[in-house]
Amino acid sequence: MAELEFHAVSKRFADGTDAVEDLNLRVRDGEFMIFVGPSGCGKTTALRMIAGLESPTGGEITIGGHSVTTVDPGQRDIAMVFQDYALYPQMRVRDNIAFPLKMRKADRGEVRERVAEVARLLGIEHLLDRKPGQLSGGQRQRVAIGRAIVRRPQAFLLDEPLSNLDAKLRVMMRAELIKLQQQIGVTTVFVTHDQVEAMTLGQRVAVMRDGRLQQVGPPQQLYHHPRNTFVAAFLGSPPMNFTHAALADGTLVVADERLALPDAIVRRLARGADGPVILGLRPEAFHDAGLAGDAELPTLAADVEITEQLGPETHAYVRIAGWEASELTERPPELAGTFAARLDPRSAAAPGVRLRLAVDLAHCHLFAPQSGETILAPPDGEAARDDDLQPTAERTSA
Amino acid sequence: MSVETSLADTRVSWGAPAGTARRSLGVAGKAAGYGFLLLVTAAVLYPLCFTVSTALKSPVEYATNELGLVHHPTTANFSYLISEAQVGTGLRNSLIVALGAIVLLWICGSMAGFAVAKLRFRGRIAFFLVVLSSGLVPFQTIVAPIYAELHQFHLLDSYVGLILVYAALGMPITVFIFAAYFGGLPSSLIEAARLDGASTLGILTRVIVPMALPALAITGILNFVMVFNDLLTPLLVMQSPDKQLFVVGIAQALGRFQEPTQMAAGIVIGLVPLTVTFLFAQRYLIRGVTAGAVR
Repeated sequence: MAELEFHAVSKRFADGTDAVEDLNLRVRDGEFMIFVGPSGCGKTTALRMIAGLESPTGGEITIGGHSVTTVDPGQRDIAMVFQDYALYPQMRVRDNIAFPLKMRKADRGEVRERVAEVARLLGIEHLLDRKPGQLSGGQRQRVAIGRAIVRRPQAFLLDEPLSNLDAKLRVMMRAELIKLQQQIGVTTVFVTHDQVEAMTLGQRVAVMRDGRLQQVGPPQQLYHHPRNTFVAAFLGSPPMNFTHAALADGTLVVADERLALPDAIVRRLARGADGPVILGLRPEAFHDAGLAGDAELPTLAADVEITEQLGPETHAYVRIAGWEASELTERPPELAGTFAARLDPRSAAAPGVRLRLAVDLAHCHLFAPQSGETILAPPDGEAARDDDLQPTAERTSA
Repeated sequence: MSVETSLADTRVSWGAPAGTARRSLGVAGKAAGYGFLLLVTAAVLYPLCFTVSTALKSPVEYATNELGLVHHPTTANFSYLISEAQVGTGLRNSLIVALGAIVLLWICGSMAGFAVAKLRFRGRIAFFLVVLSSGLVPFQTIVAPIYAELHQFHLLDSYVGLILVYAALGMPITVFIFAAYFGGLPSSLIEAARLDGASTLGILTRVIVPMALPALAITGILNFVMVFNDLLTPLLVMQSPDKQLFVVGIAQALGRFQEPTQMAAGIVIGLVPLTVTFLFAQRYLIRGVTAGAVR
């Protein structure tokens, strides 16, 4: 087990594409770290650079304090589970799992013992004499994990390992992976484009976009205190609502509404922050004012376009008179311009109905319109946690 | 209303004969299809049956019944060939040379194919093009240099010399087939093996080649047929009669054998190794065709 570090790592491909730019990140010993982002954001390239399957064009990667930037993949003591599992089809499960040990010329008895131990841990003892072609997707997944953990690597890399599984199996494997990681305690980096996987699996999540690290931190911190509009929009389903607004003396002006910001938010605003802003509201910031709730919250008239009844909650896509959803708000074309609200299932929301929606601004997000960066200072105690975005010079001197 | 009814009636009355016509056309079409296939099969099988039948006839029966099926089969032609005309020696020599060339081609061809398909190095495409285009050079134009080279290295009239020539001749198509096959294998397998600690040679021998049975079968058969059917190269390289290949033996025997029945028996013997090889490799060939269809 070891700590993994990226020091100003960048990767430019031969065709000129910058896959990763100036990545500074530390994955702590024994940590479960998620790299998440849309396709082409550089998360897989970053993972492949840890493995040595891609070489960085700049910067340094260290594993356990030793630079491995130019070390052969086989010498890095890293194991990886691929998206397509990459099991050797001609070998039985037993031989697949034993392969990395045999390559390291491990003693025959030890190989047998370790394979049995891993098979027991993963519950695949009865599959040892089958070939990968005779296994289901979930079983192949387990074998691939078995092959990766059998030699007790310093770090464990997973490249979208759940994407080929059906929805039910994916949820099951998610839970198993968390349990397994806790059991073996090995430093793990997991790459996914699925924000639900990112939120549920990791101790910390690194959000990437266009080769650049946007923010890194525990899932809850990223969800509640996103550093910019990209992170805010990427995490959460339905995604965050954005609208243009103006800030004047602790009051938010949206269209013709003047909404007083709660003190907790005002305290986090920098002095002189007045002017145009982007207001971000999570769907759960809206409540049906018709149900018993907090009478002090400001209310808005909203026309419901469609609703999704999920059982414990109802998603309503509404139009709010005078409010224009920003282009940052991701919606299917037929719902363009709507705001998503996560409502109590008892709400009367139904297509065509006009509702009074209460807006809870205690959890609102405010971003600078040009840069998209947040203009709210992190709440007390949150700032210190985020230690992974220091420029290289500071890190080296530290 | 009445118009609609009559139209509907018309449709019904037209519908039935049309369906019957389609069905009968279908049956006729099928019959014609099968008839054509039968004809093609007969055209392919007739010479084979004729040869086998002739090989089993005595010279006397052949004289009286040249084209008909054999009535009194005899193995005399085969025994004569095996004991007197050194057909056995020719077969053995052909097998030695063919197997030697194939093993060499498998080793070198799989390495070159792997390098071209899966390794990144400068000049990869140029290398591949040179190897492929060397297969386009007509053999007749390089006969003289090959002879001169073999003479210089004292490899004339030796198995090794002939094996090397065949390995060189078969290399372009072998490299091409291996490269195409390896190119279709997921790179993640190679990366996984590399992370598991395997060397490049280890990846090739332990992971890639065992998955390439179809490519091995196809290249094996192609080169086996090439060696078995070739007349010019063994005539050029081999001089001693006891080292001569099967085809040359048969060709030279054309003059020596008096009887067409003995010729036919020689051909049948020559067919045996090819047929056995094909039957053995058939399932891998079929697997090769369907490979990649399943994740």
